[in-house]
Amino acid sequence: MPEVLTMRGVTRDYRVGSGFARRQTLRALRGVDLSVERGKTLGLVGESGCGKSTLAKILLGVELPSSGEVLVGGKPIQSYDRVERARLIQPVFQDPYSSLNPRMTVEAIIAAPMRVRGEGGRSLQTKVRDLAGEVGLPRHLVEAYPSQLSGGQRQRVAIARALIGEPEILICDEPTSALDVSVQSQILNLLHNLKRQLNLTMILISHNLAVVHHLADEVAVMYLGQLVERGPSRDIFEAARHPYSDALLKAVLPPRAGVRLPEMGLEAEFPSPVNPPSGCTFHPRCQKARALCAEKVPCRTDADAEHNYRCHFPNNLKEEECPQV
Amino acid sequence: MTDLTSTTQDAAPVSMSPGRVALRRAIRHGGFWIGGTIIFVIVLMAIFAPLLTPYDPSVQSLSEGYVPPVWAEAGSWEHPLGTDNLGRDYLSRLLYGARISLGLGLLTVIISGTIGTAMGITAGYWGGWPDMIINFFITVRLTLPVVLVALVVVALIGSSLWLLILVIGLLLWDRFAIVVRSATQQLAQREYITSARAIGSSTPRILFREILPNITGPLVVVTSIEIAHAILLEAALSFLGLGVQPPDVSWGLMVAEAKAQLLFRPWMIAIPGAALVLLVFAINLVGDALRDVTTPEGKA
Amino acid sequence: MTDDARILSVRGLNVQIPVPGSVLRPVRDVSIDVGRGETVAVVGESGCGKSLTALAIMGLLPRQAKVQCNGLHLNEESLADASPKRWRQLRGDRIAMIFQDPMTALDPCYRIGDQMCEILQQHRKISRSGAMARSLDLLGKVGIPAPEERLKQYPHQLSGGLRQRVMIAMALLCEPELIIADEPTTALDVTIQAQILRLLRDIQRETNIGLLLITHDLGVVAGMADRIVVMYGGEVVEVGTCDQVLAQPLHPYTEGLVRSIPVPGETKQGEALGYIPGVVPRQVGERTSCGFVDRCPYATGACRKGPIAMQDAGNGRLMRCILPTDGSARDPDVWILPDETSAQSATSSGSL
Repeated sequence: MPEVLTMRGVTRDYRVGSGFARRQTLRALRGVDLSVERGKTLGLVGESGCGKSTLAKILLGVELPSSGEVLVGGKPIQSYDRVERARLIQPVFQDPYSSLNPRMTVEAIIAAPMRVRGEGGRSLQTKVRDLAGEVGLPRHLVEAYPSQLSGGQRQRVAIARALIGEPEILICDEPTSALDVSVQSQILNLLHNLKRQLNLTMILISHNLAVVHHLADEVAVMYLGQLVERGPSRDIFEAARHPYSDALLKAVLPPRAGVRLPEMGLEAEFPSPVNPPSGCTFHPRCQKARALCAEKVPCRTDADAEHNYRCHFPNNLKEEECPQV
Repeated sequence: MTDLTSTTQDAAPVSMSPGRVALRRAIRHGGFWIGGTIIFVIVLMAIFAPLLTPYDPSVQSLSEGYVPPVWAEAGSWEHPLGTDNLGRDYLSRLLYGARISLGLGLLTVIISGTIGTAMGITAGYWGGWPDMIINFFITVRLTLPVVLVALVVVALIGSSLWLLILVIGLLLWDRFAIVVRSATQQLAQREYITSARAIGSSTPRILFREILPNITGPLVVVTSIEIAHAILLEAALSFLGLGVQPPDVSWGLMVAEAKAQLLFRPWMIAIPGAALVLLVFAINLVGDALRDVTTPEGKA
Repeated sequence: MTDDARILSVRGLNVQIPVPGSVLRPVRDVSIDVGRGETVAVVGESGCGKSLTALAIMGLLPRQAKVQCNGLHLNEESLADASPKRWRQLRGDRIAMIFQDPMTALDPCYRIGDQMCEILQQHRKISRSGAMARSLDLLGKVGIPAPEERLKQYPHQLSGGLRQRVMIAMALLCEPELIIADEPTTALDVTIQAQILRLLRDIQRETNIGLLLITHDLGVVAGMADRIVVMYGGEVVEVGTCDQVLAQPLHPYTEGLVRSIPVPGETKQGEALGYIPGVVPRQVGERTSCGFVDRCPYATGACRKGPIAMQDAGNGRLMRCILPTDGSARDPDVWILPDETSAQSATSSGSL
């Protein structure tokens, strides 16, 4: 199957500090390799500050990588102009309260991507109304302003805006985390149906593993700007190799009787991306860390053709197989 | 299913644009009404000045000098507000003076508003070195004493109404720049700006369609403050003899000409002074009201 | 629960907030009991009145809000008519509160140690060095590494997880009888959330404090609570022990909530999730029907005849619904509604 989106060694640095201290470099992404096949959904999970939002901005072309390349449909993302790029990739953001311009009507918001391309007129109006119906927005609301809509309705508007130009790739950055649970499930159902009907390629960024489990075909786990594990959804949820993936999975609290709070064992602080720990960046928080972890950066190991991870001592390793220092 | 959603989703009042919401709130705002009415009356009087008074404001009639206003003992309805030392009708001078004061206020704000908004949006949207450079200009501008600079320029080049408008306009952009810059900075963080970039909008489209409409609130407020500011500055310069020059007439000039009569004929200084106070007060009232009215939801 | 084991007892709490043109009634006739050493979770979605209930119990609502109740007792003492001075004595001392966002709840201008000492010295006759020693002790107890240094730091120098630990330490300073925690982990990352919840639960078990946990997250409730109070539209709609409510929800709203949450390992990928149609209505005026009727798939004409009374469902369970209390009229699939998407695309062109 063709890879519609590929990232190779993508790094993104920010200069931080102000005035005389303007010297430090924050490395938000450190050599990310990623590829997504057409029609698949990749779930990107990690805690705040792990670089997942930077990754989304780079994929949208809103920011440029400091080094490495992003290929869309086999061509570098820079080779597309902004209108072509928008035709291929569209975003859905986390907060439907800040992602819609309060001064525009729902109709104008949904139509905006087409107007940028110079389209307009009655056919566009019909298209907007049809699409609004298809994302489950009551028709009379197309003339409303965002402030008159509920959170779920706003997120439907954002989804309609993303879909009107028939993009190939949808980048959903925490699409449901600002919503109430009963509304969240509606948006999840909607996204699932749309991706099936339209054969969309989707990048789903979320800290909520239940959401990722529900939608994603493949999962990539990020920690401090790096992919630490990546594989098919089932492998990650049933046989995660990296201790960090494990911790994230344990942290999910299902609303079921008899659930016990998990023992996390991640006592140390989340490290600063300005000066990350040596060796494996996860070692200060990792219960299984040994001397080697602080010294050597683990390289990418393939569990099988689709599943890889970066860890010296993955979960399924037997004691005698452990690498010696 | 369909009947369920349609009964619960708030169907009733749909198309209320933020602008119309603001208008509705304005109609209920007392300060807006009082200030607005005063300004409206002053504007009408300025526009229809020739119809309201039979006298030319600059025609002298030395025999009729120093006629007191109608409420004084020697006053008459022939000159309701009296005449000045040269026998010019004070009411017509006041009405024609309003034209200059209002016109000058508006024109200077158009100049300063354009400069300040352009600088503020540039600095706020791009950040980085454009922001540093513009900030430097703002700081430099803030160190300049406005009246002094205006005095020097007018003294060097000579005084004309158009020069005055230009000088004040080129000096009073600082508040626009500061307010617009911070408002834009806040907006640039919003996801709908990122969305606009992601749907392929051009930069001008983002600036004019996404950012500008969303900073109109603070912009309108600053505009009202700056109009009042410009009018007062013109009055101060005219008072010092470097603003509006005869035969043109402005309220500041009227105060200046009347200062010698302060102790003997206080009404000569009180009438244009009161007009100035009233106008500036009204503009500030409206500015305050606009700030209340344009603040987002829930602070009505 | 016997009366003497109760730390907090709220009876018939009502909050009314006048707004231009009408009066909002975000909290209606809410009754809650918290026992010694018990964790009671108040659950509901945004706008259900759970946070206002907490603020009303703390006496922290703004002045224009009108609070009425038939009884508010903290450890036998009636607080319904307590003076503002008495409230100030109680807050931070007998009742402590933990907020959602520790960054805004801590004063950025003062060092952690100073803020902690201030609370102690306000409520206790204690020297500054004594207060510092106790603060240090508590920071250690809530698992903050290098507590001596933290005392001298400002809130912005701490990470979100550490700040929330500081908030918990501050809440414990005066050994309160009741802690009200309003969404204590919503602003935190999932791994940090699990740690903070454990800490709260361990401390609560150790000290036998009553904990009133306000949250929207049923997962947090499942891990923490002994009893659950479900709120919808300003009313308590269901009360029961944690296991009872989660395993067999009685009120349709609770059932809808439980059905709408995907659970890895239980729900299959892409499986249609249940959801509650419609939106929360504005809370104005007297109830003339069940508050949930417009969104309830079980609703019948009887639900619109008048306000619904609380029904005793046995085993200490309560529900505000006219369905049979044994759960026999239930159909879990009723929540798997045809999505608006597929329903409407069948009528329209059907393609994008």
